[in-house]
Amino acid sequence: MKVPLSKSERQLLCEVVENVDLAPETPGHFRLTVDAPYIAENAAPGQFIHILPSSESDLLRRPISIMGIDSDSGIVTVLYRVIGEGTRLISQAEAGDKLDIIGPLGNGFPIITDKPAVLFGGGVGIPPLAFLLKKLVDSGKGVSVRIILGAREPELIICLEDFSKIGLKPDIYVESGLAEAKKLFGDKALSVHEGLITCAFDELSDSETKSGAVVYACGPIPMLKAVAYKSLNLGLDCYVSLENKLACGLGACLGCSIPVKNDDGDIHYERVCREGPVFNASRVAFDKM
Amino acid sequence: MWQSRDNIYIIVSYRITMDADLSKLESNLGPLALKTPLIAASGTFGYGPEFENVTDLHFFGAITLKAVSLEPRPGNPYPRIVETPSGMLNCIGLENPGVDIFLSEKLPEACKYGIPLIANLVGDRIEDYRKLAEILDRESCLAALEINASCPNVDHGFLTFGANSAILGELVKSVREVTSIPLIAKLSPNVTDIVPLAKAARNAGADILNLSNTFLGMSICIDSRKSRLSRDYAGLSGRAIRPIALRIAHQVASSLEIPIIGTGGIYETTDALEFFIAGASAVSLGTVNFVHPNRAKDICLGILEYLDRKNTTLDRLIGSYEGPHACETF
Ligand SMILES: Cc1cc2nc3c(=O)[nH]c(=O)nc-3n(C[C@H](O)[C@H](O)[C@H](O)COP(=O)(O)OP(=O)(O)OC[C@H]3O[C@@H](n4cnc5c(N)ncnc54)[C@H](O)[C@@H]3O)c2cc1C
Ligand SMILES: Cc1cc2nc3c(=O)[nH]c(=O)nc-3n(C[C@H](O)[C@H](O)[C@H](O)COP(=O)(O)O)c2cc1C
Ligand code: FES
Repeated sequence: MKVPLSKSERQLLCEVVENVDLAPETPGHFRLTVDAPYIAENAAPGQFIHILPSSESDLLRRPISIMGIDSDSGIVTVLYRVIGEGTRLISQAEAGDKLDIIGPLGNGFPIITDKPAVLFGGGVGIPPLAFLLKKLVDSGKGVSVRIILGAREPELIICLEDFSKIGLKPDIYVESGLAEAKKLFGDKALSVHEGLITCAFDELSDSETKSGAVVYACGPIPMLKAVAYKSLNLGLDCYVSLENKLACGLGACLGCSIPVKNDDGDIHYERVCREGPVFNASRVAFDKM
Repeated sequence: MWQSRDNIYIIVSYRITMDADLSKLESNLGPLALKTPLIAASGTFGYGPEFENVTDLHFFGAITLKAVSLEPRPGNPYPRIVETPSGMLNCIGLENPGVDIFLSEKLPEACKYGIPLIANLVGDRIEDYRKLAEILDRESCLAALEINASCPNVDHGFLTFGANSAILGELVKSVREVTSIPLIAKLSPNVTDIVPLAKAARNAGADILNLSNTFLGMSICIDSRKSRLSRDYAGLSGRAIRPIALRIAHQVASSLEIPIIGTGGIYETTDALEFFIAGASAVSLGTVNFVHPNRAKDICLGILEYLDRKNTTLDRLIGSYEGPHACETF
């Protein structure tokens, strides 16, 4: 039997264009760009790529959300925080190295253009919102967009440049370090506050709440839970991008499943890597997570 | 470098011709004739389509589908997986949509690849397995049925069927009575001596043994002092278990006549070769699919290169273990 050695489309050896350490502004964070035309061609906001940290280790792949694409040049950008061995190994990749990447994977955000959009981002949940924002703005439908960013401390607020490139200033909420935040972000932010990101709901305009803005959120689970709760109470549609430990990333192992409500109030499980990572918040059983 | 030098060499050399002659990899697994001796392990490969455009599926001689039960099973709560040194723990809990959806949706999708499929059967009672086998016996694209008597992640798992020779024998016999499809018994390694269980399964009519399922393990978060998973114990897979799985395959192969599928931590060509030498007629790839979804291709090419280099055949390799290392000089 002769079998052609076909090229697999979604698993790619991608050349690293750059892998920039964002210290000192944002210590521990890296912006990685790779040459991946297939991914750039096919990616949607909210989707992720599944990166093999190193061909010389046994580690499982690590999922990182797509932050931007340039379909002309075939370049894909992600931004990640080094928190353990996997991201540490990824941070060691240098320009010219090849990274083994599968993508784009998962279901992204719905692009809803006939309602105002409010984007909530926390920590490394912020980068994928830059991609979402670009899609909303590029839709040419004149969607009104507000961006609200939150973090424990000012240095974890990232991607401001990327938002200002698109001409939008975010509202920023930090849990501590207000004075420093004001100094850092003064001219790049619409407003800077001390408090939890959910305080922003008190500041939403009538037009945003009454005309039924769509809330998009990406960040740590406690933040998503709180944003979902507030949004749903106001009767707003809310889409959250969830994180979980992944193994295959392809929907095969059922390891990444999270509890989702049935119509009858019972729950079933859906895969973060396949049905997600973006879920309609009203379906997610946050109390079971 | 994990990948052997041989492996790299062979990939390069076969790329030049852009196709590979896999006929030397044809292998007989008892009643099953496989195009390659590599099988995708149940629960690690979904139903096949998940790996489309990522994996060259034709390097697998067969694909074992995710476990199927009579009724849908929701699976275990979140979280279900945690990575551990050179492997992972899982407590998926046999989540599956039940046999009706398996037949109406999953199987037709998997069939279209033209690769022999193996259904992995689970149940709470012997009657469940028997009924499943009766239903699946009619499916022409199933090449074999695998009795999963070994899942560590459900309350009725291996303790009921996998750890007691008499009950295992009864289970296999009951399924054997209702089907003529090749029957695989997948055993649990979580026993003191697996040989009596292997004998019981064979004597009750199993054609093939799959050795083995995951090893019970545990992982504790030292801050919360809780398990990192939604159960106390979960199944360990991946490189970490390979030497133990290899020992088990060899113990059974050297104690009784029955074709064996070696399973556990196979990541490289050399791993697969060790299992063949120990007596396995085929091997399955599980956790490696998550890391290197196209590893079946590399391993097929690596085996071909080894057979060429050693001027031997797969048949001759199987069970050719030469015994303990005799150290002649110090
Ligand atoms: C769909 C998806 C998209 C993602 N996008 C991004 C992104 O754009 N940028 C980015 O920086 N990260 C992102 N992540 C998270 C990223 O995948 C993890 O941070 C990474 O896998 C950690 O790997 P590690 O080996 O470095 O750390 P590990 O060794 O795996 O973990 C180190 C420690 O951090 C904890 N930990 C691991 N993952 C998380 C997590 N997600 N949240 C909280 N604690 C965690 C572990 O329990 C452990 O204690 C995403 C995750 C998912 C599922
Ligand atoms: C996420 C996951 C799910 C699994 N699900 C099943 C299953 O449904 N049925 C089964 O018989 N084995 C199941 N297994 C066990 C594998 O088929 C295999 O026996 C085991 O993982 C050891 O091989 P490996 O080290 O190559 O992964 C599962 C393993 C993993 C990691
Ligand atoms: S990570 Fe395997 S199903 Fe999602």
